[in-house]
Amino acid sequence: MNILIYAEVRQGKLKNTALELLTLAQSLNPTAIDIALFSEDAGISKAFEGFSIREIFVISGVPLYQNDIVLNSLKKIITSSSYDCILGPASPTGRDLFPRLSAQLKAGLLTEVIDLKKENNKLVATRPIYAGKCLVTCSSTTPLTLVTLRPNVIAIQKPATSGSPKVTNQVAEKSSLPLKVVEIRQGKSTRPDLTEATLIISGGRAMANSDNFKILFEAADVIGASVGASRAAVDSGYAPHEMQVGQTGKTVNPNLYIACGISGSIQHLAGMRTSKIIVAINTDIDAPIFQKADYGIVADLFKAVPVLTEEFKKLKGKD
Amino acid sequence: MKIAVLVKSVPDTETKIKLSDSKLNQSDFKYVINPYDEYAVEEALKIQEAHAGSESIVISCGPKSCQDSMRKAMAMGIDRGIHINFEPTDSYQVAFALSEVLKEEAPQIILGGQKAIDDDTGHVGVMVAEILNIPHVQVVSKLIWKNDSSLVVEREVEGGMIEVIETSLPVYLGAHKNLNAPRFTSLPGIMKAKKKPLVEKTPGSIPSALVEIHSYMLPLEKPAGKIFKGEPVEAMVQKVVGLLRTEAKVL
Repeated sequence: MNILIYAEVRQGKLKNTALELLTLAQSLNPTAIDIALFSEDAGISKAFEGFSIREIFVISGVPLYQNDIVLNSLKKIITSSSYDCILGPASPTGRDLFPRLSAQLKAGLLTEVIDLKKENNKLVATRPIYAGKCLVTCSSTTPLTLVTLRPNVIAIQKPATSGSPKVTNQVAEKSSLPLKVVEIRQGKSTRPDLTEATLIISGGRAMANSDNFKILFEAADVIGASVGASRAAVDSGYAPHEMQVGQTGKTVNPNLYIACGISGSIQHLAGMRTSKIIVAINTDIDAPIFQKADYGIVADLFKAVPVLTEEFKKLKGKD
Repeated sequence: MKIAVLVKSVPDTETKIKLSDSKLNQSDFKYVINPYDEYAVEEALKIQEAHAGSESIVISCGPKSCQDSMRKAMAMGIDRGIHINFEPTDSYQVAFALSEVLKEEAPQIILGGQKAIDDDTGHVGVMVAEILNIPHVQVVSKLIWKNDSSLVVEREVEGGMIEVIETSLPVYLGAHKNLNAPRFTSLPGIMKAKKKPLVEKTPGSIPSALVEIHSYMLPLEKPAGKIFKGEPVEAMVQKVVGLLRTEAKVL
């Protein structure tokens, strides 16, 4: 089995998902792993040292992540070799590229995957549906399988093999659609993205206003966490929409999710139920969030969060 | 201007998922229009209102039950509907069937929700754009007309960054939640929608599915957590932070 990984680079940095994808690819015991890296800086591929890779394609000349150019360049690599599987991240870019690749190459597409195994020489993926209320196993019916992986589901493991891959520099293909990314600017939030964050502190309706979110940001800063919000908080204008976690917001998958003053509606749980550890802070012991929580504190968040910040500081002092 | 909106019927968000023999038990499902599709319908109506002489069409592929969502779109104001009566097994089949109708109708703008909340994929709109060889922009949160044949759209990507994209028509746009506020349906609107034309079509030859489903499983329920109450706040927080470090090992 030959695997090609689309390793995503954003703002000059290789995303962590690329190493998760490599770890996943190696677990499948493939014949060869190649990497497609869209970057002006070939030095980025240093991050792949220790993994067993056959070839790294470094493609330069993509202005502002323009997807049709990336797509055409990827397609050229895919069709010039014989791959059985193309792996990529379930990121905004992955969600743009992979359905187009699937329709163009008529290849089965398995997205937002949380597990991928080889069974009887076939790739079988597990993915959540109905907002994580159900899991489904599925596979492609075509020789080529396209897979996008949810961030934060694989613990990165480097096998520490020696030997260096072949590096092939390429120039990106031309644009083929009347679409142009003209600008990328910072939105209202400047934190690590929620969908890729490993630590998240979220506030709900009980935050009562946008100023109060300050205490969540203070706690988050100590441990390098991102800050989220429930729909109730967003709809009340306490937090911008890009901070919303839930069915109509973002689906997050952190190691630790601390819900402050969030009751835990089914819509909110839909966006964060796959968090590895859930902590709930709420005055109402009957709040549904406590049924999903690994640890709960029945207390006023305005009393508990400042203590949390202090405890985090003590902890960080120890390290 | 001709505007097409793609809609899907999905189980209500409060739906409890039950399985029988590793298959979905859909007997209790109460179907509603996919929430993201309502933003697409609203945007279609806004475009129609801003461009005199425009026409809007709602298109759906699925069993007969999806006509309820189409009537809802027509009650909001969409002119007419085309229902492709076919139960697909994967998103490629849906995209293919929709594309066949879209090729005949040739709309300048195609709108849909950025994803459906049941299978949670967001494949169909992007695949439709690929099959029709037109641009697409997903997760659209803002739309500004440059002139009658080109648009500037904004979409949110990771890290709270906003991509600003210029595109000409025809284009597929996947609507996000903050694009607009969908209007409510009025009783006269609902009455009018009943009389609007809704054509039922049987698709021609549909290609075989690219994906097959093996089984459904319910996620494992977590064991009950450790809930602290009635103690001083400091003590409870210290205990939990300690457990996060020593037991859960996440800090």
